[in-house]
Amino acid sequence: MPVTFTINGKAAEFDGPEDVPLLWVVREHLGLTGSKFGCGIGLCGACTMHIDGVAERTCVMPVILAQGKQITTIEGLSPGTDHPVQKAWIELDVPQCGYCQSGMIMAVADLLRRHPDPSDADIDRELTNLCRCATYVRIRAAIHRAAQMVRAAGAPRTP
Amino acid sequence: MARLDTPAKCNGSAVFGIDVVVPGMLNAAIKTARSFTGEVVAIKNEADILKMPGVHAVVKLPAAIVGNEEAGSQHPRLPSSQRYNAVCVVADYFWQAKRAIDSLDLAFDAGPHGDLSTAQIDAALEAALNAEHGVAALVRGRPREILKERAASVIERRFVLPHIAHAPHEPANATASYRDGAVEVWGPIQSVSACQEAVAQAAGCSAENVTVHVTFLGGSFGRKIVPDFVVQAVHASKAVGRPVKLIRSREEDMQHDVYRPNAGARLRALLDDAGYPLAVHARVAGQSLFGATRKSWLDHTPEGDWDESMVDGIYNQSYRLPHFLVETIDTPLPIPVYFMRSVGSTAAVFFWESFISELAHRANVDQYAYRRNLLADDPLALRVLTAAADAASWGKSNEVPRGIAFNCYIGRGGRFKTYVAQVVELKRVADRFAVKRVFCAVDSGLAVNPNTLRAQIEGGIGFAMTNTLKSRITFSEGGADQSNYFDYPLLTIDEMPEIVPIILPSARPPQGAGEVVLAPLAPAIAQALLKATGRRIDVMPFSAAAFQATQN
Repeated sequence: MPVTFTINGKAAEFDGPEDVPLLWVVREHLGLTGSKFGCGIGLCGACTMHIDGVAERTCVMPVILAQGKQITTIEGLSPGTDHPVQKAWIELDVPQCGYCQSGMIMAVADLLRRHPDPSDADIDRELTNLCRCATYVRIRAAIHRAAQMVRAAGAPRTP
Repeated sequence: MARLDTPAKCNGSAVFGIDVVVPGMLNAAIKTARSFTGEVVAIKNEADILKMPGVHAVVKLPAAIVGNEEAGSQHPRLPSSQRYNAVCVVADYFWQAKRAIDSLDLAFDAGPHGDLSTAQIDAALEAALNAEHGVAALVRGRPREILKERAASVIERRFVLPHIAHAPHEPANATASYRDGAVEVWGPIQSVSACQEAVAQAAGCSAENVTVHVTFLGGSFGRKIVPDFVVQAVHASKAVGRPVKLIRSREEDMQHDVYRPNAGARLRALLDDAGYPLAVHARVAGQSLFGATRKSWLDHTPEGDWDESMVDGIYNQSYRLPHFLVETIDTPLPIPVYFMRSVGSTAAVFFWESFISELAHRANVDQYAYRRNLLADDPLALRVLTAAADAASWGKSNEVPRGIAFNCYIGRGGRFKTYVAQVVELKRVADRFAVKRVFCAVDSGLAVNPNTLRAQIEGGIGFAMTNTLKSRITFSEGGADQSNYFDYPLLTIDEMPEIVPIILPSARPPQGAGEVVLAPLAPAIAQALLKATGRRIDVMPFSAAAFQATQN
């Protein structure tokens, strides 16, 4: 039986072994390559997607766990690259090489859902994604900027 | 000025090498012999692997290990090898290839250097530091005589640091299509001409028949100049007659990198009556980068050749030194090495500035004042040093442990000169010190886009934090021990200091800025720790114990 799920609002299925990591199903079978492969052991977060709204590391997540779930990837976070996190990222020119940033943005979008006004300590504790270019100064500033945008817009937004 | 590539890097549309899709393409995973001189002697279960879902082929790959450049070429060379040191499995999808490669039962011979170990490497380094003579890169005045005459008063320090891996976040990967003697390649390629040359050689065609498509690079830091991973994809494509994307696992990427070489130093000095250096003897030993990859860049003397990168920031340092001897000693090793962000300065400036800190400490002179005195004749250097010290209110408060370090980064052949000074502030949290804030003053000439220069200052210091606190590749059984981020960790956001960039206005033409901020960080942290804990640091990466507050 194929595994069926919804990805970025569209129905999708995968007919193959149920323990294939979700990341590779999404990248190779569904053609969405925004989510990256970094470590393959769930340490770096480059592969982060939202599963029913919660950030998960998909390089170690068997596709069967996506059965019946709503999956959002970076491509589906917003229609016009206008999610507050993306807007803040662009405003502050966060990316350098950019490889980690899809996963970083997805992790931060979830962080802001849980902590609409995160302190630096919240960020330090919660954000464990790795950035080899060490763009952390701007990541931190952009998280605060995104939180401010969400507050200015009224209600917190969940993708 | 905003970067043009930012939106695409925020919505998943930026295409990196690993994202390339070519019609008819297959995917490959690779397994390489652990030993750098290793060889595949048997594939024990090839028939079973070929039956696995999606698998098209099992392909043995010739060793593609960086060697010396051809005369007249500026490129890393991948000498043709009859030795097959890796196997790739080609399948419809990468996940199928990865499963197959993990099921592959291979037998390897470790080759002539299968016993390579960190103990051997360290012993060779130690012997070089203890040797009677090195190759003199610079002799000014009568350093040997003065140091010998007053041997009892000589101050000596030693330092060592290991090989480290680039660990770009996008592992090495490439897509190749070999057809009728022409090759097309796609990938995160840092040098098009180096890639073209190596691919032509591997494919047996002329460089004009090699088309290179450069994608975004998910980090490189010098790694992806060496096109070993592209050449492997070409061999795979040639074997199966279809385009192939070959992706290294994180483990393959880290254990088959082209590492930054190890280094060690022995520094000896005699101070004058005012406490400033009268005579200094600096010796740096380790695996020579130029000796291994760029023999044409070595400098020649009657005593032998020396590698400028090993003493970059020492032989061309800025301080006033009446009597000065700089030596290098190459300890050749069978480890593939190549350029890594900031090259030799990440080692040499740590040694040099840490030693200057020691001399100031012994002379009981303030670290900033000591350096000001030694730079008195160099107005551009003084300006940048003063800017960092002023921004950090140096000398105004002694509550926060601080360290200051300086470097003038000189591009090879004097192509550029960038002045950098940093002040590091520590903060005590419970019983430990942490790097809290870094003031970084830079004079890199005219800053065309201050936004991206600030980004280089911020990210460069973060990169140097990882080098300084975490990175170490050790070796055993002929190969590298570390394999992924659990044993080769990167800096995390909670460890990132606050950065205060100070970009000095300048009428000089734009100079280099991508590498220059890395080198002063480690010695500035070490100096701050000396002040905070009284402990001296002589090994990079710094141990966790170095940050432990002393009992009081």
